[in-house]
Amino acid sequence: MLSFLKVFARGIIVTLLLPIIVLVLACYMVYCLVLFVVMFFKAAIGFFKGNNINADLPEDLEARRIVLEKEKTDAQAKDALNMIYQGMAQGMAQAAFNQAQPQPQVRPDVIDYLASENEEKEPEQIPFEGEDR
Amino acid sequence: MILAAIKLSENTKKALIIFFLIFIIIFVLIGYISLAIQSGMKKQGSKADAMLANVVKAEIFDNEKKFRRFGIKKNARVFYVESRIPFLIILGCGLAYLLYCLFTAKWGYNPFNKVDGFGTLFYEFSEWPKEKFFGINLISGWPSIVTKPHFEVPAIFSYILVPVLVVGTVWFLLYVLAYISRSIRIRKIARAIYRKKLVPDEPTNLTNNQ
Repeated sequence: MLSFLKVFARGIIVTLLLPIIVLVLACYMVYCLVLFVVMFFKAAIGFFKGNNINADLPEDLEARRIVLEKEKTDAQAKDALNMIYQGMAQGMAQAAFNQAQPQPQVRPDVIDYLASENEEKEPEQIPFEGEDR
Repeated sequence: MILAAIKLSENTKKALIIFFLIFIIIFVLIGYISLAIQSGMKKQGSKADAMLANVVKAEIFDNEKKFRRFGIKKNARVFYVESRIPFLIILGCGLAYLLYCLFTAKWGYNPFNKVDGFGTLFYEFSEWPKEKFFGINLISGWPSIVTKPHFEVPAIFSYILVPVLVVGTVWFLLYVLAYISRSIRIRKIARAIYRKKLVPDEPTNLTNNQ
């Protein structure tokens, strides 16, 4: 109901302001007609100079070039960041994997003979023939 | 008290209610039409955003004036490209009118006239009948019908010319509205980008509570 009343009030305001709106529109219409004629002559002169009215302005071309460069550098930076993140993620995954592996429990009070056997021994020297040991 | 003193017949009451309803419907319709025009203009204004997006992203202009000048230039180009067809229609109508005047030798022919123009397709009413009431001229009745809509052979040219001209003019007017809305949008964008403000336009809830 409130929105309906708002629309009704808007209708009344628009009706009251209609003469001003029509006047402004008429002025703009005349201005646009003149603008069209001016643009027509500009386009005609440009046509004989080899310029196209539909073509982009130099500022547009410059802007597009800058935006493309920015996009390229942004994409490169993004790729580099992605690579860093990927490396970090791989490292973290490896660390997590290593941590998750069962570690051999070392008890200080137990002597591990097997380990002592496996330790590298010094190579025995083979005596030459006739030599006393 | 005064209203209670006025005694109205049933027919008058019905007529008043109908009149009141028509009054409301007309204003609501005008309200909705204005809303539709406003939303259309907003849509057209958003075209300016697309038009200037690269320039804003690239930060080519360092001040508002240069940016607005570029926006006006670009807007004029878009308007010219868009409004070529309706302009050609209007121009064609003008040329056709000149040729008609040239061949029929009826210089100053009004295509909207009620004798051999587009006006023959409409009702024509006489003036409101008036009578003197205590020295004041007051309307005393309904106007009578002078002519009913009818077809005239000499008016065939105007039957073609006027609708085409109206279509061309309305079409051109729509592009004028689009031009105006884009101009407004460009001005707003320029202000938003280049005018630095210390206080934001719309205070947030946070600032309101403080």
